[in-house]
Amino acid sequence: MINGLELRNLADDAVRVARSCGADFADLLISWGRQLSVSIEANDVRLCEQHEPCGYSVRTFVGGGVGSSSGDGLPTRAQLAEHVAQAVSMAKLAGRDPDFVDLPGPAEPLAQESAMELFDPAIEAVSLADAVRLAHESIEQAVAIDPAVNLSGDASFASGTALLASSTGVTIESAATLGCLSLFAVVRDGDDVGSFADFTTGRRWADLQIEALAEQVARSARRYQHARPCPARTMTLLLGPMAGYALLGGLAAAASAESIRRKRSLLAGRQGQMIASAALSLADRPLEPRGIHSSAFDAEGSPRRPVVIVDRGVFAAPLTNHYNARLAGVVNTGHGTRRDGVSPTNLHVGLGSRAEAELIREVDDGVYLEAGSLSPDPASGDFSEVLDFAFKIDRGQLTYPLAGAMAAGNMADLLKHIDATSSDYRAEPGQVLPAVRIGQVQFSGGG
Amino acid sequence: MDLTDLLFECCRRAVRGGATFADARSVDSAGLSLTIQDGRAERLSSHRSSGVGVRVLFGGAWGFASADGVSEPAIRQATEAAMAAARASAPACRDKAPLADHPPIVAESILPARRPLDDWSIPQKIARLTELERAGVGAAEGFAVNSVLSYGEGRRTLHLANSRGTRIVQAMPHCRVVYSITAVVDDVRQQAHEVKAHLGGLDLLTELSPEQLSTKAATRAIRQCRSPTAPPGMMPIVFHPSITGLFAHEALGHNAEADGYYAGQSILAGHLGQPIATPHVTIVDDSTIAGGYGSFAYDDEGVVSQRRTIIDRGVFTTLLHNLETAARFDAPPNGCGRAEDHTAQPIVRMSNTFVAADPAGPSAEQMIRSIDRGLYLAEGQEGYVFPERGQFVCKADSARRIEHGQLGEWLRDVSVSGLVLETLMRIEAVGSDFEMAAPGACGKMGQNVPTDCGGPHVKISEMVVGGEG
Repeated sequence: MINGLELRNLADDAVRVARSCGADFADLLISWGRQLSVSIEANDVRLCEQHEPCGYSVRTFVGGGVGSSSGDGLPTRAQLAEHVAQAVSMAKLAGRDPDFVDLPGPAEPLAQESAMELFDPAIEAVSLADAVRLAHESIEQAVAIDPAVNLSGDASFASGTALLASSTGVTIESAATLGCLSLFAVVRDGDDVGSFADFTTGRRWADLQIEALAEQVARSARRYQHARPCPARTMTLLLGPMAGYALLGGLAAAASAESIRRKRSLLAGRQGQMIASAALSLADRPLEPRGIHSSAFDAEGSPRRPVVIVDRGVFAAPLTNHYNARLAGVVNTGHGTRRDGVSPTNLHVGLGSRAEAELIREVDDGVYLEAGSLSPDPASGDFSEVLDFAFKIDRGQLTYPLAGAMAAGNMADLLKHIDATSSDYRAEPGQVLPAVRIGQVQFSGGG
Repeated sequence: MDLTDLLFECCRRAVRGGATFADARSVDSAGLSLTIQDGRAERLSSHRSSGVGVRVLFGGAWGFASADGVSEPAIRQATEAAMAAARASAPACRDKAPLADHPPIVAESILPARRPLDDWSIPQKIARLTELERAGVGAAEGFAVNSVLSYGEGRRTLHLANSRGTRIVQAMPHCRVVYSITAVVDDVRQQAHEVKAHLGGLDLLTELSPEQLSTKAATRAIRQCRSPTAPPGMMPIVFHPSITGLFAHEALGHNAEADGYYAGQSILAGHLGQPIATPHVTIVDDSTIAGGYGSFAYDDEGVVSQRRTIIDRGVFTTLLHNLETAARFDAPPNGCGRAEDHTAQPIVRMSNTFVAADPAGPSAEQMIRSIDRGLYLAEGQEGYVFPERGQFVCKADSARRIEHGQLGEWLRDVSVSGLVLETLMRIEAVGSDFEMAAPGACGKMGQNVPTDCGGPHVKISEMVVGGEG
């Protein structure tokens, strides 16, 4: 049994040892929890597994150089002291950074995590038998829709706690739960194969859309049979919510102040400029109740803040960590990771005025990408991608699934040619993900 | 009692509790990572990860559990948790898992490093890495805006026991250097990467030249800034060995993994024993290659490492097996059960996968001369496949136009896609050269394991190019 008070004392000790070894600053993260999952394969329960992960990581700073050390299991005081000494010795070998000032100090969060409903006792209480039952029911639901379906996937449930303590006085303990059911359906008539994958995830049991998922993937897999090659020409591209998420998630990642400062982001030097059509607004909202990526503090202990990244086409603001915000003289948005990086959280894409179905009806010649990895290079913005789950659009109708369709271009052009987002959206917990329509995209595919 | 004995005892306890089979692994990974960015040693870190994973077969159903840290109570606790997991799944599991016969192996395999990882101190390593990183910036003609060199070294020690009496200790050092440079020329920003990795010691770093790593990437980044994009459409393609490797791994290798094949998720289902490629094509997965990034002495189920010929002169001959799939297909186990670490169960995986060279095959120049209008793909980057549909994609870091039998201008990074069965039959020529060229990590079911891939130059009569220009 892990004792929170003992761990806090352990963490305080570790930070003191780091200082006594010569570190200017230090912090320690200890995390522990429980995970269980059930795998489905070929309409059968394949494997049950359970884990009790526990690990720790200490960061130390000497003259701005970073030395860190990590390990698994619950450390003893002596083991932790050994890791701390190792981390400090490495920080002393790192190059000095005159721009480094300090680590974040204690601060009030903009929202209390207790009010954000990130921990659900119902998820924590899920048993192996519950998870097996859920897997079994998913198989039955899919087979009821299509007796020829071949279902695989997994149901997983996790609960965990993390404790962060630093030499600047930060002590934060946070607990969260996560449930996920992901399913992959395949139907086959000889060499004519259709398949589709989808998932539901949530911090709370009530947010899992379990009932609809098996039925939906079974039906969707059948839709992807009889696929045909894609014509090679410039057409309109309509990204379904998950495909749009892949694209705009990449844009949010490129808004990292660290990547921008290093000039390895396609958004370097573009703040305040029009980078997209006025149809696009994009925000990062880390404090959304029940959000998959929500938390009150980032990985360094800075309070998180919502950020409007793109405001009607204008790149309004980057996502920062403590170091980059101080360097730029701006308020930290609290998006820091433990590897000096910056990472987005929950995305909110601005909604348009017409539903996705209307956006499809308005397309004479185009492609609908339901799901797939349209992820431009974060530095150049270039992309050359195969469209995994896509349909041809002809005269306002989805006509046939595409096999081997490819699209290529640059993120800057895609963003400029966004002409609409839908008014309806996929509501992943904490996120708002509408369809996104883009004109003039180059396709190829032998059709 | 040593660790392997403890693991063996826990397997016996599981069998006494009703399991028909049990195996237990302790995996200890210790290593060092150094990052040099824009001339400064920014981040130095060490890690030590250890724990146990226990797997049991009970009533034909699998249960698996892991615990971080290695101790007798942790091993006992993981065994009990694995038994509880198997008992929970047994009533719902209809297709009971069989297990191939495999004799118990008692062995110790400590892979020696030609040059031990601790042969250089950390400051010596930093000095060498900084020299490599600075060489990249120097070669970038003043256009570099960001330069990052990441170095990782470590040792993975596996203790494995199973209820049949297998007791194996295996220790392997590994070393990896990744360089990434971003250049901006006339407002065009491009990034290039180069990776070198092997199963072995410090010799990778001590013998690595800037020309093999950083200046090569820098030259490519600048060239890409000045290059146009590739044209779209269907056209003949010549693969550099690194793309040939990606093709062998993604298009063929994943489809030959017997777990997916058995589950109805391979486009090759029903084709075993049949010709599926042109007769030039032989594709091999070989985990015995000395220093190969995907090599090992024993897999994570205790089966000795071996060479597997998946396609032999066009005929699909062999699936990749773990103990369970070998039993399902009544085939001998061939050592493909691999697990990322102690928290993961062994699943069917590739190792070093390649297209074998054709000693009578043409040279790259001869292949290019035979094409009027096409594309030469260089510098394989990454790829993926949907095995059930057989749709794959391979991404190249750079390409060159082929016009009237000659290599033309350089082009930016581009992807090609195809359908596995069609593309295997479109392989017109397999070259006589050979290079293992793409060490990296392969992801499957949430697990990453080290792999490598390669082959000779290969000519494909027609593929879809995801181009723009």
